[in-house]
Amino acid sequence: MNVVRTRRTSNNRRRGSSIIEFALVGSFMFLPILAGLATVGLSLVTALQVSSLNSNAGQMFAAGVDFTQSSNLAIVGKLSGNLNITGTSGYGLLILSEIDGTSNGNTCSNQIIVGNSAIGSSRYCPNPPSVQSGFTALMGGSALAVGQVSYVAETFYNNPLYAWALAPHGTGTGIYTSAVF
Amino acid sequence: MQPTLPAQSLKFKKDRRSGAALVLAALSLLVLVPMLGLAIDGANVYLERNQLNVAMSAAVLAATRSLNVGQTATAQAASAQAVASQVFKADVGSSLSVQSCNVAGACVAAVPSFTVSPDDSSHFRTVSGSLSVDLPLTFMAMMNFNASNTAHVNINVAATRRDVNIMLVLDNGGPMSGAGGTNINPMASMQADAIAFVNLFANSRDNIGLVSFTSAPWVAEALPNQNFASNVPTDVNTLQATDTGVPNTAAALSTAYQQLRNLNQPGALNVIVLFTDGVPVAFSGNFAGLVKTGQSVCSPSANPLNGVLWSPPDASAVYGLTDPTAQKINDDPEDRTPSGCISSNYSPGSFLNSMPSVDLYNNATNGSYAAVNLSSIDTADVIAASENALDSAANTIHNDTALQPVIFTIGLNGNYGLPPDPVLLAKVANDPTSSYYSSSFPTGQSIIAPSSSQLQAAFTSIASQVLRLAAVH
Repeated sequence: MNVVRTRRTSNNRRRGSSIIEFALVGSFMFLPILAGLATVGLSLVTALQVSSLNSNAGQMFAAGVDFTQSSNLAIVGKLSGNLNITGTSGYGLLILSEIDGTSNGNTCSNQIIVGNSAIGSSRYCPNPPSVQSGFTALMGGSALAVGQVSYVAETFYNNPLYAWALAPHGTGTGIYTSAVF
Repeated sequence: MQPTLPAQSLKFKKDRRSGAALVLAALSLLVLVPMLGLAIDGANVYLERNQLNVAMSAAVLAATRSLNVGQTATAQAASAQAVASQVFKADVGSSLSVQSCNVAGACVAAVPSFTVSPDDSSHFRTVSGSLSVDLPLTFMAMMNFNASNTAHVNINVAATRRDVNIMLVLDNGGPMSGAGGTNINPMASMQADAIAFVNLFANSRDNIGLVSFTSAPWVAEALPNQNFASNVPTDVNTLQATDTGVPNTAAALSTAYQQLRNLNQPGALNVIVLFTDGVPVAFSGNFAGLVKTGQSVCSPSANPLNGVLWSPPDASAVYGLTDPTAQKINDDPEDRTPSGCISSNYSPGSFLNSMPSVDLYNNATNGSYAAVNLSSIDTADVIAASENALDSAANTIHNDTALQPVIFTIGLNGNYGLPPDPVLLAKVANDPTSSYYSSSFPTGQSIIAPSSSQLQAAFTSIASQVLRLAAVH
């Protein structure tokens, strides 16, 4: 009877030590993996949100949607979802620029800024209205034909969780994306 | 009786069990790590595919706006393809590996292809883009996923550009000479800027017509007019500021609209661009039944009795009736007596009882834009009736749900006489900044150029707006 009691006690102890072992192994092996996977997933979602907002807003701007109208501006707010790019504050910044081909070169003539302008400034149209060498370089060094127009959408999303520095055109770390339309 | 075990055997078993979790965990890593690699590679591929898709979409959209560069359809297609490639390169940059690999794993740079296909019956052209690319894998490459260790992605996008039908409506009244105003030779500025505007559209594909106007409109180039690159600039250069030349803007707008209706292309983008340097001061109507008896200027029994009632640009008096029909470009119909009258009396109040409630184009002269007393034939009421007629003409155009014409207006300040009414021009254009703006109608744009030196920017801005509207993703 004593032997049986001893085995039961021993089994209980072993069960307990397996749980401890699993917890220790899990803490050092599985949790970092799961945490890394979650970080990659969340980063992917955020990057896709930023890219999607930049693309959709840029296409709308290129198609002639007037973002000086509050109703159209509200669409940007909805497109940005939880990125919270709206009004003049928040963690994000959307810059839509119109670049005109003129006899002086590529000239930025019109710019719409949505969100927190303290986060960054346009890489391709930093000081409208003026000739933009950055945009010319982006287009392989060639100027637009006189009368032709291009549209540039740039989105900054500020988040300390991301390691990518937004400098030299933005502050802190986060995601920056741009597209020419 | 319970079996008994030696103490040594129990200890051995305990030792074996104590390492089981660690071994199992290590074994499970063999499955977990590849899964993790697959997740990261999959995420990367998804993100890069999304970036390539954005770049391809942007490229075809930019290409549609470049379908106006070149004199022939072939040249325009080549221009669009070049711009699409340029924009794609700009958007992809050097951060993405754009390559195409064969089954043996040999990779070369992938090049997107862009084609332009016209649809003549629906009046649009489509720019299609396709890209076949193999995106490199990192973790899956360690497991020799395939020969090239890449994931194959196909991207197909398309954007269309509607053909554009434009009626250019240009005021060549007397003040366009610059006399009495602050602009130096505004006619020359307007001619150069209007021609530059015309050159921004696709010859042999788009249509551009021309109406010039004073107190009567003249169709200098009727629609269809696909080879506008030569004849419209010639006509514009022929324009001269006429001797008297007062703007009957409602008649000009209605005439331009009629040209779009005659062409009748609902699939195209139909546009009217109206340029004027003054407030409307003239309208044409049928004055039959409105002539006083016992006077000798116009016959009370004439029907129709079509004529124009007008005020000079400085609104100093009322004149009429004069000929409502122009007979040539740069005509002076204010110098001619209409049929049914024996002279153009310069005091129409002496032989007319009142003004008609609609003009010759069925535009209401007693509308709501400006308060008017049709029985009172003075300068204020003639101008109010003329403004109401223009407003009514614009309303008729806005309500055309089939053609959905978009109106753009350019007003030039600084010429002699009453300047353009910015509120009325914004209403005519259905400009979003207007207090009369209606989202139910096509949205246009109204620009007031403070001087003739700013006309170029106005015409260019409208051209880019039209090209934006023509591009459909």
